[in-house]
Amino acid sequence: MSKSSPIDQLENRTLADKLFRFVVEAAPNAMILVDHDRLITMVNKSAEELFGYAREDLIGKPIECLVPNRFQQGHSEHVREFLSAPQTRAMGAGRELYGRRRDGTEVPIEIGLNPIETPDGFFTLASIIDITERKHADERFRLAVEAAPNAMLMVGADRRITLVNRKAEDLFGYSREDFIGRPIEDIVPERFRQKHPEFVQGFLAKPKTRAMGAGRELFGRRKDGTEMPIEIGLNPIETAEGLVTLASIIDISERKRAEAAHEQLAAIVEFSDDAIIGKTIDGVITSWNFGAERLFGYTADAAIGRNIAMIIPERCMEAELSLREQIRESHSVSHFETVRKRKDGTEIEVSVTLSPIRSTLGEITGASSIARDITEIKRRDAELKRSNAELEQFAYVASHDLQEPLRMVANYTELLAQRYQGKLDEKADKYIHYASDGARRMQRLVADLLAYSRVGSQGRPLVKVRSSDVLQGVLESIDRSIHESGASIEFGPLPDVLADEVQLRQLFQNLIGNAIKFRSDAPPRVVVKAIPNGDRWLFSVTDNGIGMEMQYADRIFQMFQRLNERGKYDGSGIGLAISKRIVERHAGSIWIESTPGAGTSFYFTLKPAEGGGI
Amino acid sequence: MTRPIRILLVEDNQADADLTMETLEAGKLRLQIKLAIDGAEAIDYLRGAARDSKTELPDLILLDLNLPKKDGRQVLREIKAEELLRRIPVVILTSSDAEQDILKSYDLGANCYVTKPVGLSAFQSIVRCVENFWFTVVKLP
Repeated sequence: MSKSSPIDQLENRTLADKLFRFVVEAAPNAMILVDHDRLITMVNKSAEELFGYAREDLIGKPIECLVPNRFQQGHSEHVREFLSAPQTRAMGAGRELYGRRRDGTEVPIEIGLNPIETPDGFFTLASIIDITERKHADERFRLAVEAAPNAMLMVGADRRITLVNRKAEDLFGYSREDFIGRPIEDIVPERFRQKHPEFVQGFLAKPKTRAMGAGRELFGRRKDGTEMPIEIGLNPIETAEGLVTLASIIDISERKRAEAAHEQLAAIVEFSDDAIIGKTIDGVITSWNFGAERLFGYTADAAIGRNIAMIIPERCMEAELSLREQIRESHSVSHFETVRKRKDGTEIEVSVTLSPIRSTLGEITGASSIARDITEIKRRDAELKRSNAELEQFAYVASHDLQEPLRMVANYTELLAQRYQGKLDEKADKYIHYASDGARRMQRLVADLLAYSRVGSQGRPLVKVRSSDVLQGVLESIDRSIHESGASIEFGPLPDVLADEVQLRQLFQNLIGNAIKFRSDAPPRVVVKAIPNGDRWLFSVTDNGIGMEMQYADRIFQMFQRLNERGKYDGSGIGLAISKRIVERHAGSIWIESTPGAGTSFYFTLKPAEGGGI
Repeated sequence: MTRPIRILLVEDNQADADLTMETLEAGKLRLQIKLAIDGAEAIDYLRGAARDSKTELPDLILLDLNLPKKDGRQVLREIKAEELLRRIPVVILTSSDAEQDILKSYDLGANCYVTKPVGLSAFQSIVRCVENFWFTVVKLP
């Protein structure tokens, strides 16, 4: 036998025997001495208590009486193995061991085996610990780990994984079986692997609960090789097996994405041309972007913490307070035009859009305010209005003042014709004719120009108008032309619209007049309809006239543009230009659809009368 | 033989004045037409006639609105403010068809408002109409 027991070294064998028995008896663990034939030769009190047998009932029994039936077959095998190379060791490495009590119940145990060689033969002393409590604790720990909301991995000092939970399986794509026993570096991206053992050593040298990789960005590697950003908490745990590390891992991909989105949004806000300001419900400024710095002249440092009143002129304060009231009632305010004060005291016109800011609990805690400088827009707007008004005034004055001398030319050439027709030579007659014809044409153009300029300058406010009444009125006034041409005009129900009645009348008159004027050989048939189209009424005036090529569709709405040669159809070509101007003054649009020989449809849109609906 | 009908024509445009006079005179009535070429002359003439027993006041005034020196509207206001002048019918004969001119003229007491039409024959026919209406239909003061 290569192994010897210290008992051999005692000189007095009886004393040694007594001492041995005493030690065994006093041991806190259950102790059982088994002889070479696997018969129990000695048990202590703890063993009696553990297995529920009286000492006498065990002595001389084979050890298998304490082994559950399901393990008995393998047991004699294990004993043979042990005896072939006896050494002090734990029994059943890697296996869970159970003992059988007298009442047949099982108890989880741990067994240490010590071979003892004596002059009386070879014995094995088994030291047995009831690990029921530890098992319970283990189970509680396992359940706690399993139930944790994060991925949990337990790693031994050898950096191998000994425990994982469900979340860890989900996160890394390894099954539990696949995980256990793997080196932890398997879930570390390759580029960090080399340094990792060093970090582990560092941690184990000073084990304390802490976050891993302070200041560094951490990544985990899934089984499929993909990576994810993670956060890791490390907890050192002292166990029977030594120091282990419990790592709690959170996938922060979502958070990173949200952070990236947040940063992007923050950059957009920061560098927006508009001033974007956050403030509390009482007006204390909480954020202030570059746009605000540029627009108002205060830096963010100077503005944050102060009250927004610093950029509001005294006279606008009342409006500001009423806006705040709206925010409190959780209303947003869009494009409110007002005046703000710069740091240097100058004032600027701004368009302000306000939205409530809510806390995570949904309570309104402040407002975001987007202010756009509209000084320039306002100035251009005013300039455009003035220039339009001037242009209109010019057109009006020019055409009005042209009429006077023109009337003279026209009247006197006509008087010449009246008095001297046939009294001079033929040429004189012809010249007089040209002169008066030219003057008449010019009179017509000037009159049309005047009418065109009056659409803008002499327009009345837009009010609720019954378009069917207006159309009816038009039909009565052009009754003669309808009768003479044999035209039939049909119209269904027409809506109330927002219009200048005089101009709407002119519009209908122009379009229906046009339909009758450009008739084909067939008697003209004109249909007027209106259908809802978005937030407008879409009117159509359709005829069965000569139609036209669509390539001229835009030209016909320009001033003094005619598609047909002079003389064939009367008119200077102002009617449709005036029609377009009227529709545009009503914030609508007008267009045409036509087929040569088949007829023409004019379409135009008008706003419904207030409360009239669509 | 009855006395000719006296007309005061206030018109700064000589061509229009000639045309109007020619058309009026081409009618059957015996007319005596006095032309004033601006508002001030018209008022002076009327006031003079009112004072001077040798000069007769006109039976009818044809008044243009846009006149130099004294505007037609002012002339009308002054005529209607004077005891001796205000019964003389005033016909506004102008190229303006602006609504504000029409309303203003009636407010100031114009007896009728006529817009000079475009075209010679239309003009002639209007002038004849005016002549016919005021001198054969209407009883003058």
